[in-house]
Amino acid sequence: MALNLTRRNFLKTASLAAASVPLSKVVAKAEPGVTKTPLIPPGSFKDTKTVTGGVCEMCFWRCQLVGKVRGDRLVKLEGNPKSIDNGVNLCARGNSGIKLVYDPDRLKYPMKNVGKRGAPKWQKISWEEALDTCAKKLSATIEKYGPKGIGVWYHGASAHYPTAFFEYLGVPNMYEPAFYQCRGQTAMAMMQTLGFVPNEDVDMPNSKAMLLVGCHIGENIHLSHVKNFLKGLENGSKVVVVDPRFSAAAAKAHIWVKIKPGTDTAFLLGLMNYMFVKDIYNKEFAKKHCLGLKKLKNHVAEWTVEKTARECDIPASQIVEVAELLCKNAPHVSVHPGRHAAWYGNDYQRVRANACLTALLGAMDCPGGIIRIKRMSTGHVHWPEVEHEEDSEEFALAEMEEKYPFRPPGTPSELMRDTMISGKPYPIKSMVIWGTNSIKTMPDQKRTMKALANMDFIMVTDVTPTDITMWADILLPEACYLERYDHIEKGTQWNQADKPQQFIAARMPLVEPMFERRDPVWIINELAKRMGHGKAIPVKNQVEFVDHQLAKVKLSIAKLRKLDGIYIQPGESPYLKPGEEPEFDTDSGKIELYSEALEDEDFPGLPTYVPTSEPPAGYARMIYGRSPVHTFNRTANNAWLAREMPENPLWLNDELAKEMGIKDGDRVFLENQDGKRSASSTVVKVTPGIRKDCVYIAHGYGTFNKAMSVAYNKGIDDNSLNTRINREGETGISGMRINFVRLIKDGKIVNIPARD
Amino acid sequence: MQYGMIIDLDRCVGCHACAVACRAEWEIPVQFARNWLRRLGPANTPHGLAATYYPGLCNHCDKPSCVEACPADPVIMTFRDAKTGKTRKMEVAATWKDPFNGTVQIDKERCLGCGACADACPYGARYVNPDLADDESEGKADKCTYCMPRVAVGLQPACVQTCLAEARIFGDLDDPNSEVAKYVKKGAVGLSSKNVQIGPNSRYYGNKKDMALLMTQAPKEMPEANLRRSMLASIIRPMEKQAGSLGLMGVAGALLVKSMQEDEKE
Amino acid sequence: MALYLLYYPSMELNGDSYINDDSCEQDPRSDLFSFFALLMRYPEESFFDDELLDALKGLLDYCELNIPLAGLNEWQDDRDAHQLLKEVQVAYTHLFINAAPHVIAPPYASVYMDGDGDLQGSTTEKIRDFYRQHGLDVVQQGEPADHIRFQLECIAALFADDQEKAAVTFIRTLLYPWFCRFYERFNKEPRHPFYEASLQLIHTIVKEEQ
Repeated sequence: MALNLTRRNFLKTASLAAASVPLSKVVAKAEPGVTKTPLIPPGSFKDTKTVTGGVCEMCFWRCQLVGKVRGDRLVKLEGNPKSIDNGVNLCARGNSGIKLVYDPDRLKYPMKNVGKRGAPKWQKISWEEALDTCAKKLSATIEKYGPKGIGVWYHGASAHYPTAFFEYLGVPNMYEPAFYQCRGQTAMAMMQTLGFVPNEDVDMPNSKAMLLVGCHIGENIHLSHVKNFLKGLENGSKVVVVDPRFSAAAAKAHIWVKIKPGTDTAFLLGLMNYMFVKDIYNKEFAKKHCLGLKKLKNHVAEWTVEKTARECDIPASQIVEVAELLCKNAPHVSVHPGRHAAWYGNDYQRVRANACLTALLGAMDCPGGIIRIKRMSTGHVHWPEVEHEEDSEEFALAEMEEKYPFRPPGTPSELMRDTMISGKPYPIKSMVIWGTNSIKTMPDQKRTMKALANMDFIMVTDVTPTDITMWADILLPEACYLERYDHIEKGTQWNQADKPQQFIAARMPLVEPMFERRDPVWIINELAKRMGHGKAIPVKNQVEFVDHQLAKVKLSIAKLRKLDGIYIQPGESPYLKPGEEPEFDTDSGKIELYSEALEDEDFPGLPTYVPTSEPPAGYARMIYGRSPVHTFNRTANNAWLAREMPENPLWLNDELAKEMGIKDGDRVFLENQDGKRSASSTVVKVTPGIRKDCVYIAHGYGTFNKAMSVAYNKGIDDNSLNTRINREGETGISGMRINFVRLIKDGKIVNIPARD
Repeated sequence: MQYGMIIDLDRCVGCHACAVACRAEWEIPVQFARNWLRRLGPANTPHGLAATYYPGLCNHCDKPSCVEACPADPVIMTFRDAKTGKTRKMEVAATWKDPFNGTVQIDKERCLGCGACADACPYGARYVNPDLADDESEGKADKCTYCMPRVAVGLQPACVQTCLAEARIFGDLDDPNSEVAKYVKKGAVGLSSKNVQIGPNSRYYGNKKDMALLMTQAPKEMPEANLRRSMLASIIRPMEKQAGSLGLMGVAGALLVKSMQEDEKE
Repeated sequence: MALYLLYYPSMELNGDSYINDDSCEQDPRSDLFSFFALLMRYPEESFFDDELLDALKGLLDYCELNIPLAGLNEWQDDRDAHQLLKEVQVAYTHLFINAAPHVIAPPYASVYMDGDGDLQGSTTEKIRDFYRQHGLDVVQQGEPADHIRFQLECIAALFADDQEKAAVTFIRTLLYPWFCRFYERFNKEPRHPFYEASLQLIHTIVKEEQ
């Protein structure tokens, strides 16, 4: 067959190829040939250099890291030996950060969706085109609807600079899951009661007793927090864990209160009542510092030991045992404030009860109690204050609807979603989604998709192609935490009883970002320029962004580099000195056991128990928690972590399992009260360590879409079964443990028998 | 000197950091592992409801069954005591117990990849990586080395270094003042059972109920030494080098192959 | 199958070409592999045109790969130049860059050779070492050195430089082992006729050079 080819054909194309040949001639080295792969990997300490300045973001605790780099390759992450927080330790996720850097699935280039939202066809485009499009679309939305026409969903350190920009633009609709699906109430109810937010500043190592309500330390891993817990145990602290399940914390506890789900507030009220009745609470502290003591005493009087025991389905003797234990050891008692609080939709009241109990014990500002740790503070980067045609505060949805007066900062996700769908009170037409997978985060996935379908334009910035990226019109690839400068971590030595020290560690890249990944400061500045706000840009680049904040404490990136990434100075003990009186920044200046502000808004002025709904016959409540090797669904694609716990086993009570004919290791699907079935299955873990009225799985697993089922995406997506939500009146936060499930095995429904 | 590892279950929270740090340190492909973390319970024990963890690794046993199983041609190796500089010559196959520090190591160059050592270990601590097969082997065996290369330069084993609970303690069991020796005195034990008594030097310590739960993980029986497999390996390999084809081995060889296939079917 | 190309030595060379006058003597496989490298680049308007498609079809025809050739013809028939380019850009993105939740067939050796399927593995280092040992190095920042187009360019450069033995060694020991696995993975998914054709062609040639 005669060849129709001419060399000419090749010439043109070859010359084009040549014009951009990515290989250059260099001086040849040594002998040609193929190097043999060593049979034994050399280990991270061989032929590597140690790069300091890493600050982890596999979760949000932000341990300080160093990287071991061989050539251009990051081969291992380790704790920074200079760290007084995590030291050389790192948890499973911290160690696995490398897999994120070199994950072949990570977003690499800006892309445009030329298919459908939810079923995308991505086309790689240039940054030029991507940013031009985003700027054009967002400007058009502002032009037509005002800045309130834009909504922002965000999470994590990389979103700080972007959100500041959108606030400057006057966008009132900003939501982050940390508050509205997680710990909003823990902050707000504490603030309302104590006048400060303890977060997790609770002095466990130096306590004589601890009360953990739901807190499953050990399955949740915040590194130095776990160290605190273990130190307390080592020092002889008596631990009480209140949980329907024998959690990792319960496994180390002295007393496990196997409480009925949803009744924790009643338990706390019952404890307080017993303390009042027996007169064993910290009278001196309470009288001096609390407002509404008598009111509280009368209010909890109905919660006798018997009534509480019945409601919580626990032995009356346990209530007595716990109350006595806490009072005997007051004030050196760690009443853990909790973190994730979005349980049943009655959670603000529970946190109020928690705060009141802490106050009755006087367990604050002293060894073992909740403490106000003194950390350094750094500056802020501000975009200029501008006058907007519309005052953004006026258009805060919750304000307009006169709802959720005690809500955390930002816009309640439910309200934003409602508005996106209805267009009332005004249209939200463009979305900016930064570093959060809203599909796995917000309950009622269908509603989220409906809201997104209504948008004129959706811009998403992320690191991996999570579910939400399938809804992006323009998808931007971000540099991950090991490849950028942003967060500044400020803390102290992990044990408050040790010599007081304070530290600052600013995140620095350990490697250069590959492909065309960019940092958020660059992305936003480019966007700002194209939207006509070039002159307002406060910092030129990410280094300046951090240096600007460090300037307040006379530090800089360059200085920190010389200090191996961490600056340390003498600190201040958080404990009150003898004679020193605590201050409470509330309206009354005292701890508000009774809150007039709450009553004014028609909420109970005293912590009140609101029962949650019962599972219908044949179903059990689905409760969820954390896996120690995952951070929500962020880490699902990480091969090392997925290998450690490939799926989320369903915890089922052993006696129930026997009745149901279910064996340990059986594979099941779940179906909820609304008939929604899980898209994937999991294995059953039959155990005596859980009540009969609930089943438990770890959050963050499972595919959302059957068609996407691949090797590592095993287990069940608990959020897909959260079709029923219960918005709390005080905060607008939805409870998520109010969905009930039954099992499906081999295609057949297996009901969960009613308890006697 | 006998290196040993202690795992304190009172402290261990089952965070899996040890398993990941080891993998990161030694670039272990994700389908294999030099160490592991198994989550145990909650389950009823004679001392109450317990939930704990089994952080497992090679036990560098006193009487390692893996060493006996290796069919590679023995050679004389010279061992050197890192402390005193003394040397000693020993005839070893491709895996041995170091006469000076008590750890069990593998010579990857001479390993045939037959898997006999992995089969012989009651703890499942070894694996064979077939991707490393070459002209002389079917793959390479691998396992925890107690991080001897790290220890040699003054570092802790990777798993010990990363443990946020300080639940892993490493040192010389023969030194009465070491932490590990003190733990043994307190009652730290290895995962032995009635029929498996090969002297594990990775030991566990914890309260009664946790230890009761942990001990359910101790292997009940020694694996049946897969003699046919190691014998086959030691016969076929050298013969292959000469003959170049299985068919030339003759009837005896064919019979061996057949019976090995039957074994595998069982 | 030896590969013969007909030359027209009297033809003028393209003025922009970097190939010098006596490159008519150059091993034709150099241009062939350069061409392959081009096929494995993200398609841009500057080079993705009828000439490229013609060249591809010609080679397919020569190698008697009639089925992908027919597929290519059918696809090209119905569409204008703009549509063709956009489609291949989408296809390239989906196959080789990003797809939810996993990219289909990332074209990097380390993904197939280094245990865990990550980028920047030990194979990447090995391949980069090979480039350097033969007087070449990757200048483009941001892409791992074992992207298939760099490997194909390397082979082209070696052929151009009369280093046949090195080129064949590279193909045999560094390219082919992972390319097979990559090709297998690619074949498991529905694929665009342009890439079906390109990869089948590359596979056929590379296999022959074994």
